[in-house]
Amino acid sequence: MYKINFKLKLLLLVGFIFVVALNVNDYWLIEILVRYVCTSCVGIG
Amino acid sequence: MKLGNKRRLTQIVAFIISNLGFIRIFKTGFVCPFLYCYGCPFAAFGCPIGIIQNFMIYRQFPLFTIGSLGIYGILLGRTFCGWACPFGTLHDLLSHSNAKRSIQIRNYWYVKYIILFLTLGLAWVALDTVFCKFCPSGSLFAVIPFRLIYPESAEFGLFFYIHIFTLALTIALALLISRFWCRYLCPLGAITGAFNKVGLLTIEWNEEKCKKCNTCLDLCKMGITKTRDIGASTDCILCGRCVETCPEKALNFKIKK
Repeated sequence: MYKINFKLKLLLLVGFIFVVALNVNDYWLIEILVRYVCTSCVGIG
Repeated sequence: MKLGNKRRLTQIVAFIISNLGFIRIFKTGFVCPFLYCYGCPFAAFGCPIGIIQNFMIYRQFPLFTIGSLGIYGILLGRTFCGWACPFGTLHDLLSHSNAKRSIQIRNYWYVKYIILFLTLGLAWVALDTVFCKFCPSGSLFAVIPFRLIYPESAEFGLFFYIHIFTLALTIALALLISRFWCRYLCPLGAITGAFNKVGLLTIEWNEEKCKKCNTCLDLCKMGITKTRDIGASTDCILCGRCVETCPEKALNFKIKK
């Protein structure tokens, strides 16, 4: 089986942290989704 | 403390944390690392599958969600399925402790990838969260609690009955086939399972210590059939049941370098 270098994994992790940090505005959109959930959207109604 | 007790404890804690949303300030925009519907009146986090569908409907790329799942995945692989997911916990409770006593069927691991593809494709095409309308986890943790807390809120629509049907079907199948939903259908498991290949945490198999007794495989609720697949397979949820039962201590949690 192939193996991925430990440093490459850490690089990937840092990459994902950057992706989250650069898109932190989405946090507020998701919070709106969680707070004001559309009941018909999730099939409750 | 035994590993099994630690696992049960983290599952309880994860369930409590997931429901902290009953205190308004704890309703956050963080992405949950497991399938827990934000339709639950007490949900504290957003379900990644629900959020990704919503972003697709609005023609936006869900980078925050993908990044969050990437961080969870690189650090812990599919561990959240085995140690935290409330729907996975229910499956644990429903299935027989000896997985060999469950019905054994072929490992159709790719089905969950088809479900994931369909979930995303349908959200894009139908401009609706189609998967959420059928999600049995949403049935249990959102639809039923919502109905109990707000009985007068809305009439019982078609999707309420569909939800109850999918939940009943999933529970029936989980009684027959261990971790049925996690093994074959969970679209989030498909995403996090892929990270088992690159995740830092894994279960290491010491081939020299192993006496090939197959106790680990007999007890594996995810139906893993080869010892070398433990920790690396997209199906492994790193629950550690194999680690705690191996008589030769040939399996151990390890940071993969």
